[in-house]
Amino acid sequence: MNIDNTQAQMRKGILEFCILNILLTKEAYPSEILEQLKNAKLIVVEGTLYPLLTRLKNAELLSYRWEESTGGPPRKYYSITPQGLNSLAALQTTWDELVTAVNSLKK
Amino acid sequence: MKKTISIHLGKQQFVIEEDAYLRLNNYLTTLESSFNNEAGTIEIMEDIEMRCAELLCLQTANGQHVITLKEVDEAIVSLGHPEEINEATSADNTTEKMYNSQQSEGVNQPKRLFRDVENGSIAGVCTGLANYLAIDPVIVKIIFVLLLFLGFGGLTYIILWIVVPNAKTPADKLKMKGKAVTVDAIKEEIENAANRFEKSAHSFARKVDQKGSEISNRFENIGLVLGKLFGIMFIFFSFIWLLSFTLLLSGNIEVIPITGDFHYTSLKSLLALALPVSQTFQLYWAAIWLIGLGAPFFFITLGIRMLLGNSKKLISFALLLFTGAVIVGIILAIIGGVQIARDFSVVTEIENKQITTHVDSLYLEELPSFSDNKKIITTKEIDFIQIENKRIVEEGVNFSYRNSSDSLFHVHQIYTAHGATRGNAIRRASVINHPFEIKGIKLLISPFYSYPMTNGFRSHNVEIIIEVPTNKKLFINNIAVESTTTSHGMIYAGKPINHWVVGGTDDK
Repeated sequence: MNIDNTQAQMRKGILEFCILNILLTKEAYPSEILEQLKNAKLIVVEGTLYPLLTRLKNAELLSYRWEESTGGPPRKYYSITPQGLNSLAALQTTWDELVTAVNSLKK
Repeated sequence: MKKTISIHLGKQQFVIEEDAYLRLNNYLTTLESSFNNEAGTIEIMEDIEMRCAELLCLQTANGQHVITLKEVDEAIVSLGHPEEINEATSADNTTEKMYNSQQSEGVNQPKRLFRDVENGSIAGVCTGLANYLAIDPVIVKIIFVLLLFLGFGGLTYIILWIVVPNAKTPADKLKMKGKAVTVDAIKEEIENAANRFEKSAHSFARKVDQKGSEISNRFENIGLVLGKLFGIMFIFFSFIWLLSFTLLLSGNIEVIPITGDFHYTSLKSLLALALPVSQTFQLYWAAIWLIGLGAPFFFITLGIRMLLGNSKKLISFALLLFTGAVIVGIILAIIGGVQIARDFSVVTEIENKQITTHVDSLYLEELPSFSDNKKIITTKEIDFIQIENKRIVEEGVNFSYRNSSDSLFHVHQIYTAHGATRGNAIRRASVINHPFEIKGIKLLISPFYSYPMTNGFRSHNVEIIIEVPTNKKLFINNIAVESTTTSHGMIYAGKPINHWVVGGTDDK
């Protein structure tokens, strides 16, 4: 059994949850999201973020808008949708349940 | 010193070294393929490219103006290799891992049929097919050309062209060759493609240019192939024409069946018969040769030109020469035609002989021919041209009858011939030979008449006119005919005499 694999599996499961959490309070563009995930050590390679962002957007949990910036290229600002909020709440519940479950097993 | 390229990435412009560009391009293409046409791949790539541009921008902010391999590699490390990204984001990790390991063990997938436009000559149909079947592409092309001659090759090719997809992406190309579509394999494929591109890019136009001329190249290729096919056909058929023409006409191959002196005669002699005037004959002879040789040579030269694909001065000159020959030949033929018409312009009839008899009835019969003192009833031979003793023999003598002005039978033998002048025509007419005689109550008329070969075919004719006194009878086929009516008929060898009444029904 591959430890790396399992670790990756674990991280993968919660990445989307984390992204939604980041965007809960305010909108952000990909680099900002990346920074926060990196600081939380959840992401190792940046490339992992983008497919997830697009998937969430296609599932209509996120939306984005373009903003022109002076002295640089335009940026995509992602924000969470009402549907996204619902999913986030559901995930939050699951997360809490998991934490409780694992903690109770750990002893 | 290194070559640099100017690129546009993530809405920003960069100047990048050539090898760094290739590495970056390689990376981005592999990455894109690895998403395997997942919905939103374009957007994902957009975002990734923007991030990539950001990373590169940060590095050039240090005052550096050109992106080198170092920066590209650092950016790739940051962004992550395709396997790492896929591992972290794929929907079902375990099954994909199993699938991948199986493939990377080198188990080859079954090949799928694609067209290989990159390697093919027109639309890659033959090359793709050859790939799929593991045969040499040249053999497949030969087969298609043969099928083209059989008739359905062209249609088959076009159908395959429409239906079979083109192997565009690296993933397609791998499927075409039957290799496993793993990220490693894709990378390898892209590197190969990059190498091929690099080689051709040095000597030919850039990618953008290539795309544009690709289409016209295809058409050019089709044109070339068709041209070569036609070239071969032209040469082949012209050669056959030339061969048969030379044999037939070069004078003495005797293929026309005639009876009499010879059994066959050559086309040249036949022509001489039709054109007795030597000047006309020569004109036509020259015309025939000019056209008969000029035309096939023209086509042979044309065929050679189509095969070679270009035209040297010599070839163009030869084409002109042969066209000229054909035109001159046609002109000669026209002149000759005019002359022939002139030769028919005058027609004369002369009365060669007249016999009178005072018998009460006259029986019209065929004059039999004798050979070795034996009577010939009929001789049926191939009824084309008869030549005996250098005289042309024709069958079929007209006769007609009408009332006589007195009480005697008068039988006139009239010869007719055509000529350019009156004297000419008269001369031709007078040398006709036609035997007829009255023996007792029988009027014997030979169905044959002859005239010298040198006269040519000039509508010679023989007619017998019988004047019948009112109180006497003329018997045709042993049946008496009404002497008050005018009527005519023809005598042929070995048959009952045909005759018909003017303005009435046939007699029995």
